Amino acid sequence: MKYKIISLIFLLIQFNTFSKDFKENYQIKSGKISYHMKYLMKDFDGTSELVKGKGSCTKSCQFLVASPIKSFTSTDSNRDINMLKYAKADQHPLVSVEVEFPNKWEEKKSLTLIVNFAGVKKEIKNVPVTFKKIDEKNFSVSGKFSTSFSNHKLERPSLMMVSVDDELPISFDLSIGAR
Amino acid sequence: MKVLFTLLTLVSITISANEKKLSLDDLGFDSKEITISPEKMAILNTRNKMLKWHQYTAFAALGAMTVAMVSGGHGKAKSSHETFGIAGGALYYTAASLALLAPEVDENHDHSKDSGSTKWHRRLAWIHGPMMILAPALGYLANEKYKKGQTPSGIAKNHSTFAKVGYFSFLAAAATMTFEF
Repeated sequence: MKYKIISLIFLLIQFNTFSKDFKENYQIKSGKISYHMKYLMKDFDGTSELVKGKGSCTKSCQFLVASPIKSFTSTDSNRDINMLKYAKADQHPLVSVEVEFPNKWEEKKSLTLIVNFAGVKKEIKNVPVTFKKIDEKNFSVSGKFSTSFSNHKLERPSLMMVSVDDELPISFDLSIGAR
Repeated sequence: MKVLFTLLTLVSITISANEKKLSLDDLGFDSKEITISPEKMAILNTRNKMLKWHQYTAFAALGAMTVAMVSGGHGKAKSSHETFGIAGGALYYTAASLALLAPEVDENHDHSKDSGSTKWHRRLAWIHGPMMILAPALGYLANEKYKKGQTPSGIAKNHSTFAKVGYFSFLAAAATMTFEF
C-alpha cells in the first residue's frame, strides 16, 4: 500500500496533471516582429513576418522564437540593406528569443525573455505579454518590450553624425498552434 | 511492488531526459533565408562607408550652394557667389561620384524596385544632376558677359533659373533622407 501511494504521488508530481494548462508541443503558425528606430528627425518601423518558433510544455513551457535579420523590412530598401551591417547579420543571422513560464493559462503574464541579438544574450524581465485563446489548440501571443543597441554591443546607425536612439522597442504578435 | 516503483522511476527519468532544450536548428529555417555571404558583407561595408561620405559631402554642398543662392543677383557676380558656387559644385560632384561609384550589394540590383525615400532620392537626381551641369556652365558664360560689360543673352541668361531648379530639387533630395515620408 505504501508503495502504491508513493508511486501515485510520484506520477502526479512528474506529470503534474492537475495543473497543466498547455498540454502540447507548439509551433508558431504565423507572426510578426517589429522594431522601432528613432533618428533625430524621423522614426520608422522594420518588420519581419518570417518568424519561426517552437515550444514544449510539460511542468513548465519553454518556447524558442527566431527571425532572420535579413527578413526585416521597413519602407526604405536602402536602409534595410544597411541594417544588415549594423546588426552584424553575416555573423549572427538570426535574432531569437527564449522564454520559459509556468504551465498555467493566464491571459496576462509578466515574462522574462532572453533575447539573443547579434550574438549577445540579454535577459529582459517583467515583459507584459497577452495570451488569447483562439480554440482548444491555438492561441495568440502579443507584447512589447525594449532592448537597446548597447545591450547587444552594436554600433548605432547615424544620419549626419547624429546616432539613432539607443533604445530599441520591439513588438510582437504571434499565432501559435499545437503541432 | 518494488519493481513497479523502480520502473516508474525509470520512466520518469526517461521522460525528463527527453525534455531537451530547443535549439535554433530545430526551427527549420532554410539556409537561403538567413545567410549572408562574407563577400556580400564586404561589399556592404564599402558601400556603407561611401554612402556615409556621400551624405557628408552632399550636406556640405547644400550649405555652399545655399550661400551661393543667397549671394547671387543680377549684374556681375559677387566674389562670394562665385566662390561658393564653385565650392558647392565641387562638393556636389564629389557627393554624386561617391553615390554613383558605391558598389551594389546585389550586382543585379534593379533600382526600379527600390522603395521609400531611396526611390525618391534617386528620382530627384534626374532633375538636379542635369541642372548641376547646366547651371555652372551658364553661370560661367553669364559672368564672362558681365565682365565685358554686356548683358547675358541666349541660354546664358537662364543661369539663375537652372540654378534654382537644381538647388531646390537637391534640397528635396536631402529632405527625403532626413525626414520620413
